Amino acid sequence: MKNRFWKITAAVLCAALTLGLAGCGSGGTSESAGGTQTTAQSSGDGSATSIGTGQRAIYATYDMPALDMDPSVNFNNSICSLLNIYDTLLRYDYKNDSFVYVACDKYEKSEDGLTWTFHIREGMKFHDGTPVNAEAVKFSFERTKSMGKGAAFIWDAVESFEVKDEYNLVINLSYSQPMDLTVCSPYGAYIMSPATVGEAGEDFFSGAVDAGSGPYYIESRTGNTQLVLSAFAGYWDGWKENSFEKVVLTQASESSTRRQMLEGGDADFVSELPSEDNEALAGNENLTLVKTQSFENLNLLLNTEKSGPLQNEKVRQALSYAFPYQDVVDYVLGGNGTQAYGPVPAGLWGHSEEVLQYSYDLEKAKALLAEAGYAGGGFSLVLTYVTGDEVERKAAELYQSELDKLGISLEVRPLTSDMFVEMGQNTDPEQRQDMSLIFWYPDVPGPYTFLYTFYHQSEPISWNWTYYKDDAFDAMIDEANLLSGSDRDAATKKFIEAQNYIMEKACSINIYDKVYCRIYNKSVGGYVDDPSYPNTVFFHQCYRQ
Amino acid sequence: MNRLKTALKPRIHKWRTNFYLLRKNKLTFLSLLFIILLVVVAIFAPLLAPHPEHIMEMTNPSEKLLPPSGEYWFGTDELGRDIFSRILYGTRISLLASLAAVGLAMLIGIPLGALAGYKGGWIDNVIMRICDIFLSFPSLLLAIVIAAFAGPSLKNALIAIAISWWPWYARIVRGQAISLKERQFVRASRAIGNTQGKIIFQHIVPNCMAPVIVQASLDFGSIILTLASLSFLGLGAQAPTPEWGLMINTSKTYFLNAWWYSVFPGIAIFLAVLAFNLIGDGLREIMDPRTRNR
Amino acid sequence: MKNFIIKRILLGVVVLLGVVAITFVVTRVIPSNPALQWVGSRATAEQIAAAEEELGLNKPIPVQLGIYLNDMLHGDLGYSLKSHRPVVDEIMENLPPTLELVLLGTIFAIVAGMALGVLTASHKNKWQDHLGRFFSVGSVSLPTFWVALLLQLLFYGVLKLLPIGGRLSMDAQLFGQVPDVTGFLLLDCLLTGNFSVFGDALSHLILPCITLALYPTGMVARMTRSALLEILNEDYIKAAQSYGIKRKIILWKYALKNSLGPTVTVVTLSVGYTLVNTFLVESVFNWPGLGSYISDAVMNMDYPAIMGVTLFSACAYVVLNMIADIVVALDPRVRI
Repeated sequence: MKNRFWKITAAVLCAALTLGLAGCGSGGTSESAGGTQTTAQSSGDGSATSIGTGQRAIYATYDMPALDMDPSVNFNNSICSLLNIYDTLLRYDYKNDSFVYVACDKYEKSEDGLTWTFHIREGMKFHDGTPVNAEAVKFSFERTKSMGKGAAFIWDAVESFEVKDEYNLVINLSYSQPMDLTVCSPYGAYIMSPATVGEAGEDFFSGAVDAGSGPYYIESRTGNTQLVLSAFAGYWDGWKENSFEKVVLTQASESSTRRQMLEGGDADFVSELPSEDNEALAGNENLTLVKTQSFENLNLLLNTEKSGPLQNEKVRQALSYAFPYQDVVDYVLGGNGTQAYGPVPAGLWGHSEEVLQYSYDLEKAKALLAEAGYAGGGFSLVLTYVTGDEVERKAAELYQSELDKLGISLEVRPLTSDMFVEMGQNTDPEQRQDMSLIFWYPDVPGPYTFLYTFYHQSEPISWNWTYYKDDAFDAMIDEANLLSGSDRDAATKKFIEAQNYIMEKACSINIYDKVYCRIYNKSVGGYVDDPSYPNTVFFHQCYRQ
Repeated sequence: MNRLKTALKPRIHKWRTNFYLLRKNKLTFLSLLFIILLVVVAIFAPLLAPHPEHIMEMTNPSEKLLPPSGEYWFGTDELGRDIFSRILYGTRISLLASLAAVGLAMLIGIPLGALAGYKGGWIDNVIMRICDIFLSFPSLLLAIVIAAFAGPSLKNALIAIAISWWPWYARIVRGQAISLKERQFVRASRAIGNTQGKIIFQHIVPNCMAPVIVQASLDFGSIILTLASLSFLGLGAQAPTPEWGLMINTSKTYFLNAWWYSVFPGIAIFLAVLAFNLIGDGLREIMDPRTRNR
Repeated sequence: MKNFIIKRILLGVVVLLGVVAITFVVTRVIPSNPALQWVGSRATAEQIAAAEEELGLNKPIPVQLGIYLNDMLHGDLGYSLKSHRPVVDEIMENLPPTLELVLLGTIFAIVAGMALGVLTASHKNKWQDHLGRFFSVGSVSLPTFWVALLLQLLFYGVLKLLPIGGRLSMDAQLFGQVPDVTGFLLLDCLLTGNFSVFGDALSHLILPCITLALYPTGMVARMTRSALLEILNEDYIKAAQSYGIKRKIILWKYALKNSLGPTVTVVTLSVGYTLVNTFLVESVFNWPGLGSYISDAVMNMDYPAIMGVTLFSACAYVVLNMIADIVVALDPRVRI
């Protein structure tokens, strides 16, 4: 009797299995599945030998760690991998506002700032064993510039790259630009091996391959979601006995999973966690928490062009007084941020507490609204942000609640990133949003990128979503920018002046300057959270204590 | 003419017996009571909620993520709003949106089904093949695709649900229409020269409604669930709407620290869907002559 | 019979073409800008224009549809806007983990559902029946995504028994020498005798598997019960009863066997349903399968990826439907 039952059950199971397989057969078989590729690179002298420390580190990232792995094309968060695989000429040191020499050991510029000579560090090798020299650097930068993808625009000022001799590269510019900052960029300034890349197109980099000279090479790769890196024994800067021999970068987009990995010791580093999790984990004795002032800030850009109440400066000022700055800092960020003074974030040069700061004051807001002829509100506005961002959503909802008290109804509209941009860049000004939440961080560390991006006129519209049109202001910051090459102090003064000017116009509500709050495994030493390279761990500097 | 119509109308109602059978099946009867309660809650939500100000715009961040207490029965959410009040109000949203989705699905399905059944021939063939296409992939998937591309909002979500649901009603109506079109009163109507449109909407459609409404009430649970699922994926209602699925979606970030935030909205969805499904189950039992008398 | 199968297959093809047409039209009427997606939001106007050219977006829509169909016949579903990799490759990478979940969930559902069905049918109108029916209606009323969170809360948050998500722990992934024979991790581990990885994989599988199995379990239990009740009412069963054959034997030997037809139908259909349910559940469990893939794609409006997965699921669903119909048709008791 029992036998019968099992026979039947077995029959049903078989049926189910066949059905399942048939189901998968319909879309093609899964023989080639798995998807993990291991490196096919025939390593030259370097990568074949291991550094033999046996240490490993794991980084669980919110975004895909291996998205667009072509160093000429990449313009996303996978820099957390690329910066460990490829070298740049220099690296910006935010603490001292100076440079770290990487593939370049000295450089000079001409008086007029149009000719820059970089001396390449001698004796460096790519992972394929070929030497890093001026020729290779020229090849890399030219490849990026000519492909015209990603952040290729950083080379816009370049007229030509010129190999002076084996180790000297001359960059000729058509207009003055601080090239030492440009070559620090985490986007589009990587050096790659001509021998490996050759004529290979973008597709080449979809495999488990790299062409770098950095401290790590790609050992294996699972789609875009996981990378296993191995230490490059021939790295010029050498290794310690407790350096990480293997580094795994893996995607865990759900914050609960990242938290589990961190708690269980399955990850040494994780991407940002919600502030509630940070609070919960702060007491864990296996973890260290570091806070670093970042160069990132959150801004609410007001549409000054669209017909309606926002054209009125008084209304914009009223809106600035209605924003619950402290609530956002306290309850959304869990205290990991400070209310902004103007658009230039704290810690970056050009930031100053002399800049006009609005405070939360509903009475003042009401008075200003009445002055502008909108006593009791009575109008509605549309606020857009990129869907999926919890911080932006909460900030928007808190603001909505305050505006409600003023009789202004705020429609909060989350949009996918492309729709968000489409709306902001719509050719018809009336079709654009009234206000939008934007996180911004500098391409090149300095105040100009913030002021230019948000308030300077540009055609077609890029990110100046205040749509502010003021030639006097544009002249002010352009002048300050020109000064910044020669006289930083004078430039700072001018930039502060410009910020005060623009804050008076209330074209934007600058909400807060972000503080990175990173929790990582206590046994890791040497880690520095560098805001110029957001969310990147430089594993070569780290070790297991 | 009118008397003829009434006389020829099929008598499908036997409410008294059916109600008796309903009473006999305790679980079904309980569900019916629960649904009545839901409707009452939906209508009077703002009056019943202890913190009606927390339903939409109002926030209270200094009291965020508080555990359940006498003040906040189900705790508070990440912006300090009373979860209990929001769940009460969510009843209204879920019921209304599902009702709208079903209504819209009927609005598309019934005329098409009636047309297909009444006209027959190639029109019937085309409409039914289109139905086949829609029915041959999972309704949730279709709803996801449509809602994703239409842009996330409650309105688009319920349109998406209606689009993936109408073929069911079209099929039922078509079956009814085929049998109705040879009935005396339809023939009579045709004989006195009424137009096709008039026949379809005056005679065929009204007489198909009963089975469609029964089917719709059977579907209601699944529709609430689909709506919540879409919102959970971020494709339905948008913040600050207190939609149950959306509340669970938001709670994903906090649930390890604030269990109440995920648990209570889920219970609300579960109970509502369960009540409708139990009713459906009971109705099936009652209407199935094979199981009725046992 | 042959005619029926041919007709059924032709209908399947029509359906799939319809699916392509619908999804394609839907993707082209929306105000989204795929070229902008392709190059990223900080791109310049020239880069966007170049991308439009590259993606063929400046061609008329019927031409684009033609190109898409032609590519599809050659096994090309286009490139993901986010990752710039072929959608087919990505689907193939994400498929085995999802199938593993769906299959194991279904097997679980069949075993548990049939047992429950027999139990309720044999105790009709007793408390076992009421409880069982309540469970089977309850399990189809549960929001799966909520169950997923609840199980995580209980087994990870409170009991600390099972992992909250992922397919393997990092240790097993790096040092366990994870086998890769069929792509089905559990099966591969058994084939290669790697039991430490097997245990690790199993512990990650339990929660998502239970979550997904709930719905089909309820369906199978319900179907088994009603089929059994119907059969138990048949004359031959009554005859058997009057011969004095034990009730249990009747139930297991005669009745259950004959109730399998409808159960198989329900199982095939619920496989399709489970597949779609993975879309809701996988991302909660950080399970690296098709479900996570499509929820990512939906968030990013990555339309080639959404279309690819939709097409694939529709294919699977059509095939499963077809199998269900053919199984029913092969049942001699059913006449077509």
